[in-house]
Amino acid sequence: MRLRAIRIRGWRNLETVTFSPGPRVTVFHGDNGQGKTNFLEAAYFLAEFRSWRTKTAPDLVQWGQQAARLDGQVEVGGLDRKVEIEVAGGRKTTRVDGKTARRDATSLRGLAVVLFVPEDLQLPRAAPAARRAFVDRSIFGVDRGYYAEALAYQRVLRSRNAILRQGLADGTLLDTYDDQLARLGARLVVRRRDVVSALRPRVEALFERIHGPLSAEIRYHGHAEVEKAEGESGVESALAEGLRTRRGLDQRRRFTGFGPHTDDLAIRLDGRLAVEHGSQGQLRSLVLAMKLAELAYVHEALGEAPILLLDDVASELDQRRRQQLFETIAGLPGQTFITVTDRTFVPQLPGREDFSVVAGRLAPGGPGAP
Amino acid sequence: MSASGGPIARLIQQLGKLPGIGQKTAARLAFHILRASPEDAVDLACAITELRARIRLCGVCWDFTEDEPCAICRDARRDTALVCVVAQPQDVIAIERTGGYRGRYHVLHGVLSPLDGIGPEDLRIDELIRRCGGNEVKEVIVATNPSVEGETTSVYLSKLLRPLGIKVSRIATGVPMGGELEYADRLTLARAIDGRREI
Ligand SMILES: Nc1ncnc2c1ncn2[C@@H]1O[C@H](COP(=O)(O)OP(=O)(O)O)[C@@H](O)[C@H]1O
Ligand SMILES: [Mg+2]
Ligand SMILES: [Zn+2]
Repeated sequence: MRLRAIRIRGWRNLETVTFSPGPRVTVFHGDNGQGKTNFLEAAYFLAEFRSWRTKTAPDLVQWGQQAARLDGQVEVGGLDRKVEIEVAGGRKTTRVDGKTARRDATSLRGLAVVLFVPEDLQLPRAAPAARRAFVDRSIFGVDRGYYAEALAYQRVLRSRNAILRQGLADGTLLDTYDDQLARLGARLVVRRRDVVSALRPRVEALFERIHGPLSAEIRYHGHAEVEKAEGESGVESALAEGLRTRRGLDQRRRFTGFGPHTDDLAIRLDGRLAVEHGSQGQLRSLVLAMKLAELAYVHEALGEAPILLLDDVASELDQRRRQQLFETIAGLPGQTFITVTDRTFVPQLPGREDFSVVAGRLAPGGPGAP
Repeated sequence: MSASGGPIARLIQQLGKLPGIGQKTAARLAFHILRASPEDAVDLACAITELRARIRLCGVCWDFTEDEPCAICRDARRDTALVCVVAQPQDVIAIERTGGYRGRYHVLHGVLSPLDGIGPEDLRIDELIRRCGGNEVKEVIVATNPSVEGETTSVYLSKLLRPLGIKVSRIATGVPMGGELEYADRLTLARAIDGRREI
């Protein structure tokens, strides 16, 4: 995906602007609180139809304004497409080429960004949900329809939990939700396993390049009895069986404690769990390797580079890892948007263009690093 | 203009309760009715009154009807062994429009939705089981929407009906994922009924 131009109106603290980024590296620099991340958020929203910073769309609308609007011209798979986002009256409208488009529309394949924010550096130590989200993002980056599958699973799960909370004793009803959960869950497990298998060698190679000769391994980790099962139907039976045997427990606890919503991504260094044995530096290298693996995977699967969005990450990395990151970026064929407080953190990169952001106003900030 | 509680305000309030009608539209409709000819306004009022006075639920299929049982349930040419289960009365109209279906119907008046507090006892499920308990019904086609709730309802019904020796199938192909049966075009729907798969 390439962003040719974006017109931003009423978005957070940003002044109305039409902005045409170059084909490679764009650096947004400025003091904290000026609106750098707001620019990244707008670019992210154009591809994702949502923000990573808020779930409530009205947050995006400039205080005192009625609406926020993004009009983007993007190029996806050699085709020019028009993406329009409007947030008004508490609702968001998303249109592609004039037609209302949903986030999970498979026709939007290729509308893809990879985001790297400082919170990602907590990934090895964070709750399992964050690591599942990492896995899910790689799947979604290539197949937007996955979002609908994941939502359907969540909905059946919440429905089953509602029945457990009400203490309904209808066994047939629970059987029904078990069936549905096993069927939809098997699909998630198989897809997550597949993507983790695709990411694994990349993480290993990237980690070695970034950090040195130590073997890094990621592995999708589920319940023991599901781990043994193979293929979608095998996993479905194992999930159904697990739900059945734990039903009494679930009924006492009034929630569903079994299934892919409790799975995790195990991260190991030389065979030992990284979160327990890894140093701070090793964990940072691991996250960097994982994010770059995600980027490489989505790039290869789509046959076209997604836009890489780096929010304030440079300042969080030491000199060496920063250099590794920027070396990779120098070799990327696509666009990268970087926010930094200090421009000197970013080296001279091919096609680099700088913009300063002051109080929501964008201004060309001289070519290359100072 | 009008004090709250006056006839205009009351009509606006009533219209505003209709699905998809906000306060603005309700006001527009109310003033439209006010400006229309007196006969049109009275016709509308009578149509609503008559609707509530004459329409009831068919005691066999639970569709809306004037007569008991309804015209479809009375039609001797229609196959009593085949019952198509739908969520809403509108779905009967959609399937009838295809012109190709010769069986009977059963209207659930909703789908299972624990998140909205809707369980089996809120739907016409007991009535369906009782209806299938006799010897007449041999096959049930579940034609709920392909949403999570529609799918779940169909699986639940098949679990209840199969032990009764009923063949249960689901219309699956054709109706687009997340699509509403009510809006599916006739050809798609006809193909969906022909291509039903057993569950
Ligand atoms: N809806 C909004 N309307 C106006 N200003 C907003 C809105 N939401 C956030 N802001 C402002 O945006 C600024 C933060 O922008 P951000 O892009 O996060 O800064 P940074 O340059 O540090 O990345 C803050 O000054 C905040 O007050
Ligand atoms: Mg920021
Ligand atoms: Zn009837």
